[in-house]
Order: sequence, then structure tokens, then C-alpha cells
Amino acid sequence: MSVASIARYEIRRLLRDRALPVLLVLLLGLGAYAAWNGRAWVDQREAAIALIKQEEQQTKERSRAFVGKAPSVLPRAQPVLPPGAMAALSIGQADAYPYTADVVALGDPTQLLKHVWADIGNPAARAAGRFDLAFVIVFLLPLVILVVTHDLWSRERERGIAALVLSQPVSATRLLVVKLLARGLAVLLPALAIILALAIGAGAHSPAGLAVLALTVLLYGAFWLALALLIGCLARRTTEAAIAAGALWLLIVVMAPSLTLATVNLIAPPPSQMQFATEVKAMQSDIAKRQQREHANSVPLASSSSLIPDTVRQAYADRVAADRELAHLIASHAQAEAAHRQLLDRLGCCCRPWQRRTRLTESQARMPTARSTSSIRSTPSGRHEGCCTRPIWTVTRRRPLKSTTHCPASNTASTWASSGPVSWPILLP
Amino acid sequence: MLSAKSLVMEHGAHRALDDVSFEVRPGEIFCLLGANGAGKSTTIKLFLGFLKPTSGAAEVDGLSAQQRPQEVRRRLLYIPETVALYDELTGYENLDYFARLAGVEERSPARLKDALRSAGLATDAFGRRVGLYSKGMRQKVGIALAIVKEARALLLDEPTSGLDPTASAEFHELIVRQRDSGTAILMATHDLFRAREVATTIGLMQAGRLRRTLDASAITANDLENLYLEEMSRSA
Repeated sequence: MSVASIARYEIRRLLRDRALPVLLVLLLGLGAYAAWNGRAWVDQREAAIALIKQEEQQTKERSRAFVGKAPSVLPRAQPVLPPGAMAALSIGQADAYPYTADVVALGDPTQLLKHVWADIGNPAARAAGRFDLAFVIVFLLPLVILVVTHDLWSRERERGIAALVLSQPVSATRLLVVKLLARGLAVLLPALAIILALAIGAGAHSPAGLAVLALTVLLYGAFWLALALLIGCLARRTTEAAIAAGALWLLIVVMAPSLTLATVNLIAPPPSQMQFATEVKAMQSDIAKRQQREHANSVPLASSSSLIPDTVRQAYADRVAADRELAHLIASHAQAEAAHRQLLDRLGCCCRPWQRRTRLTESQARMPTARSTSSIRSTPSGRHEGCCTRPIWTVTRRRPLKSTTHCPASNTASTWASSGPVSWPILLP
Repeated sequence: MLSAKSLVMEHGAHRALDDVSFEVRPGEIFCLLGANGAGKSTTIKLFLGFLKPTSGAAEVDGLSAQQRPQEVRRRLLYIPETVALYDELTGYENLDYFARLAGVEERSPARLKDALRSAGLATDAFGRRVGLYSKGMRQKVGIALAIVKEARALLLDEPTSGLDPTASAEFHELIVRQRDSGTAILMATHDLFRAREVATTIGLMQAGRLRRTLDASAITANDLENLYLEEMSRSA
């Protein structure tokens, strides 16, 4: 019997069952909401970035008036992280991480990411991520596939059709594979068309991005089809097959990421941010008190330049000295964080955003001052993007936080965009 | 055509078939009678190649069902107690699908419809979904498949079980017609009366053994019943 005949009859049966059209309509509805959600988030973020750039421009123009008039000026910049070409597909937990930083030379580092603090909202809600197209693909698409394919063979066994089929001169393996492919393509191709249409509708216009999205959906779908085939071969009854399909979905989509993270936390526990912040704060407080005592008992610094006031020079010297004393504490914390991340990377948590980080050159992140304020990491593609990646932006701070509030952005990242070289001046306080 | 040669089938310590031998020639109906668990269905499954005998051989047209199952299945048609078909497809579509599976090359709509008609299915039922068919109508689709496939042997496993008397009589008529066209038929059944009417040879099975082989034309229904009860009670 020709493959086409088996496939044609399989699709005919599938369409007459009415489950598939209902599921596809459901997928379309939920996907449309997810795409709208993603588009709205991107619009909101772009509007916020436009305002920041406008404000930055105004500050720059205002500051220019003081050049040559004030005793000294220091640079200031507000780099932003614009949404990537495919951002609308996958918002994930992006709300919980910074997309802009207010970088001022010799400024208070706790103010570096102040905009994030104002925008963070409910941490629990942020941790769950938004209902976006990536969620639809990762969580709902497998359900649609399993509903249609889980009883591929068990139903025929249960009804007794299998005996009549197998009494014909046909290879059971070939028959099963063709039936699975027919059903799989009957689900996957319309689902892929829906997802691509919604992605384009949500503003994802990158051809390369869309191609990767299509490939990812097909490969992900193929994985679930293979599981359906396994279930079909092993389960003798449809109830068994349904339970097995549900359990596998729960295990792979819901539990496996959590279990992996729990295992990694057990093997290489992430350092406590709260403890770190508390220790740094205590140490900073001690250093500040000691420096105050020393200044009270010492002679003020002799000014070698009339351009930089003695108070500024003293403040800078104090901060450099404090940095040196804190370096050991920060390094050990960073080391523990790095060990945790490396283990995660090694376990290949493909859906985990931290796997895809690479370090940008420090020059991209450093302000043109003598002190390095932060290093910024980014995704390989350099943007917040991605189907199935649930990206997180990270700014790994080398300066300790003065605030005791844990910064959720302490391990994130993407490419930061500034409107130009960050060298425009501001008036010193 | 169908040949059971000293078939022995063991499931662990249990012997499901014990040295069963018989032969069904073209144009003959061999009825296997026996209580539940006597080994009738096991014998049929051995001819289909679904099971492998511990010893002995089940042959169709001289071909071993275990060694050359695909070639054997090309020559056979199996009709179980209930012909399970795809409920979402019509009777005509089911026949077309299974005819394709069976490798039937001549599948013109006219031929398929003729086969359904010959099997006794009403014309207006051809395009109706099988989900709405009665058991008797499904059995007729099975017979239509045998006609289309031009099966040289039929394996029937309690095919009239659960059918009303009219449907049962119709079905047996169809079987006789198949027999007369030269098909070898092996039928497992509990219906002594119908077995004596249609069979050429009757085999009485009990506890995996073929106790007696009787010429159906040389025995009355009453004698058959007495012999059957005698065999069953003797073994018990």
C-alpha cells in the first residue's frame, strides 16, 4: 500500500474527528492573545526608551552650556537596551531586569539601575513570566500534538482494529511511522503557520529570526511526535496512553527545568545575594567610619590641580580604597556565581537564558572614567530575543550595592545601546 | 490449503495446544468446536503468524505462517468476533482502505461496491459512517473484503457470536457462497447447529487437544450435541 494512501486516510479520519480543528482554533486564540501581549510590551518598552533618549538629549544640550564655565565636568550616559527584532515573541521575565542604566562618573552606584527598581512590580508575577508566544510554543503546542497523536495505536488495539490491520500483508512499523507522520504534519504545519502569522503580526519581521523560529517549532514538534510514537508502541489502552502523555508533558515541560535547577543548586549552591549585600553594607559602613576618623585626624590633600576640587579628589581616593578592600569579598561572591552558572551551562539547559551569555568587552560597558563601574554580558546575538529562550538581561556588577535590597538584575544581560559615545559632560555637584 | 501439523503451543507451564493436526482443502469448511479456552483462537492466531508455536507448523498453501507471514497474509482473510473498522470512515472507505492494505490492485469503485452488494450490505449504507453500523453490517464489510481480496482462505473466529438469528443465517449463507467459490474456511464457533449445517468437517477441541474429527454430512445435530457434551464432560 502506498504511503500516500495511508496518510490520506489518516488525515481524513483526523479531520472527521473534529478534535484537531477545535484544538487549532484554541491555539490560534491563545496565540493571538500572546502575540498581542508581546506587541504591547514591545511598544511600551520602545516608548519608554524614546523618552529616555529624549531626556538624555536634553541633558546633553543643557550640560553643554556649562562647558568652560564650571570648575569641572564629568561624563554621564544613559545606555538603553532596545527590544530585539523577535522580542515580541518572548518577553519572559524581561520586566524584572534592567533595560537602562543611569551611568554617572563617580556617581552613586546604587542609583545605576534605579529605573529598574521603579518598574519591578510583583516579583512573583515577574518570575512566572508573561503569557507570550514562547509560552504557547513551549507549553501548549506539545499538548496539542499529544492530544492528537497519543492514541495513535493504542486506540486501534483497544477497538480490535489492530488485529484486522496486522492480518494484512503490511509492515506494522512502516504503517505506524506513516500514520504518525501524517498526523504530526496535519497538526504541526497548521500550528506552524499560525505561529508564524502571529509572530509576523506581532512585529517579528526578521527573515532569519522567522526561519529559526520555524525550524525550532518543527524540531520541537518532532521531539513530541517521537514521544507520541513511543507511547503508542508501549501503551495497550487509550487511558494508559493519555496518562503517559500527560505525565511526560508534566515531567519534561514543567518539572525537568525545576528539577535541573534544584540539582544545580544542590551541587553548586548560588551565593546568597542577601547575605552578600548585608556583608558588603557592613564592610562599607566600617570603611566609611574609619575613613571619616582618618580624615578628621589628617591634613587635607594638597591640591595639584585647580580644575578638580579637593573634596572630589578625596571622595575618589576614598572610593578607590574602599573598592580595594571590598575586592576579595566581591571576587569570592562572583566565583560562586560563576561556578553555579557553569554547571547550569554544562547541563545544557537549552531553555535557560543564562546559558547563552557571553561577555562583552569591557570597553562596551565601561564609562570613560578611571573606574570600572560594571561589566555587561549579552546573548550571542546581542539582543533580547528569541523563541523558547525566555531571556533575562544581566548586569554583573563589580561594585557592591550600597542598598540592602537585593538587585534582581545582578545576573543578567544583553547589548546595551547608547545614543553615541558616552562622553558628554555634566556639571559636577 | 490450511494445514496444522502437530501444533504445540505452551505458555510457561500451561499447554494451550497439544499436538493439533488437521487440514482444510479448498472448498471446505472446517469448524472448530469447543469450550472457552479450548485453543480455537490460538490455532487461528498461529495461522495468522501472530503467535509462534512451541513445535509443529501452521501452513497456508505450503507456506509456513511463522517463516513467511507476509506471503501467508496475502492469501488469508481474518474475520474476528467483531470486525473492528474505523468509525470515522464509511463502509466503502473502510473497504477501500483495507483493500489497499491487503495489496489489492483492482479497486475500482464499481468493484468495491459490487463486493459490498454481494456481501449483503444495503446500497444506502455504503456511504454511511461505520460508527452507525450494526455488528452484522460490519461483518458484511469483512466478507466484502474477502471477496475483493480474493482470499484463498478465511479464518473466522466466532464470527456470528452476538448476531441475531437472521443476521447469523445471512452470514452463514455468505460463508457457504465463499466455500462454493473454492475458498478454504477455518471457523471457530460455539454454534453446534450452524456448524453442522455449513461445515464439511467438524473438530471437537478440549483443553488444547483436537479430540475428534467428524464428517459433518454423516452426523445429525442431536448426535453432534451428544458427542460434544460427552467429550467436554469426559475431559472435565
